[in-house]
Amino acid sequence: MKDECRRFLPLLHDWLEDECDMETAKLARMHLSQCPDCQQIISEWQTIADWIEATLPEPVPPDFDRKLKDSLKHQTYLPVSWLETIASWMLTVGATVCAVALWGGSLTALTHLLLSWLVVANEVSSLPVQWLQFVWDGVVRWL
Amino acid sequence: MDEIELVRRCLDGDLEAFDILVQCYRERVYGLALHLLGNPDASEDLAQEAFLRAFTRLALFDPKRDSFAAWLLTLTTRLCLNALKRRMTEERWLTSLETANNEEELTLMDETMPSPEELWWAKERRLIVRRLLMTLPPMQRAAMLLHYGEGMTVQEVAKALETSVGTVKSWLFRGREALRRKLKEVGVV
Repeated sequence: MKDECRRFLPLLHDWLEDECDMETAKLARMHLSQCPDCQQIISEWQTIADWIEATLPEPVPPDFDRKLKDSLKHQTYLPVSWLETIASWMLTVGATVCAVALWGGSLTALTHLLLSWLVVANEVSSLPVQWLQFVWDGVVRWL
Repeated sequence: MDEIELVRRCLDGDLEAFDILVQCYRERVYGLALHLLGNPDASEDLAQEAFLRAFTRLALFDPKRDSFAAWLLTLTTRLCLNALKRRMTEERWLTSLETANNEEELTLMDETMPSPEELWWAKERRLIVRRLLMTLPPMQRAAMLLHYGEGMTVQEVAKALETSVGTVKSWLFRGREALRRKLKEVGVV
C-alpha cells in the first residue's frame, strides 16, 4: 500500500461513515477516483459491515422462551429490584441525616442535596421521585 | 404493534406485551451476547438476564431519549462488558477462545457436507466473522457490533459504551481495518 493511501485511510473511513465535512469529502472523492487500491479497500470495508449485520442475529437455544417465562413468573413487577429499592432508601435517609447534621438544617443545602440525589438516582439507582418527596416532606415537618 | 404502546401495556402489567417484545428482539439480544462473550451457554444466561432486567427497569425507558432497540441493546452490551470484566482477564479469555474455536472447526466440518452451497457459505461466513471479531478488544468489538450489526449511530454507540464519539470512530476504523487485513490473510475477501 502506498504511503499516500495509508494517510488517506482514516479520512476515507470517515467519508464512508458520513462523518466528515465537505472539504474532507471532496478530498476523499478525488483520491478515490484515481486510486483502484483504495476503491478495493472501501469495497472490502463495506463487505465487512454487511457481513457483521447479517451475522448478528443468532437463533436462540430451543428452551429460551420457557426459561425466560419461568423466571418472569418469579418477578414482582417493580421499576427496580428490591435490593436497589432498599439500598436507595438507606442512601436517601443517610444523606438526609448527614445534611441536617452538617448544615444545621439549612433548607437550601438540603434542597440542593435532594435534587442532586434525584439526578444521580435517575441515572444510577432509579430512585423514584415520590420517595424523595416523602423524605422531603418529613424533613420540612421536622424542621 | 407500536413498541411504545407495547411498553405502556407492559407497564400496566400485561405480560403478553412483554412476550411480544421478547419475540421481536431475542435473536438480536442473544446474537449480540454471543458475539461479545463467545460462549453459547454464558450468552443464553446473559440474554435471559438482559430481558429480566429490561422487564424490571421498563419504567426507566424513555422513548424521547432512545428507541426501545437502542435501550435494550445498550443494556445488553453493558451487561456483557461487565460479565467480561468480572469473569476473566484478557489472557484467560483468549485461551478459552482457542478451545471454543477448535470446537467450532469440528462442528463446521460436520455441518458443511449435507448443506447446499449458499447455506454452507452463510454458516462458514458466520463462523469466520464471529471468530475474527473475537480477536478484537471487547470495547472495540462492542462498538463494531452495535454500529454495523445493529445500525446504531456513532453517537448512540458512544452513549451506550460511555465514551466519546472520537473514541468510537477510532475503534470503528481500527476494528474494520483489522478485520479486513485478517480476512485478506485467510483469503476470504
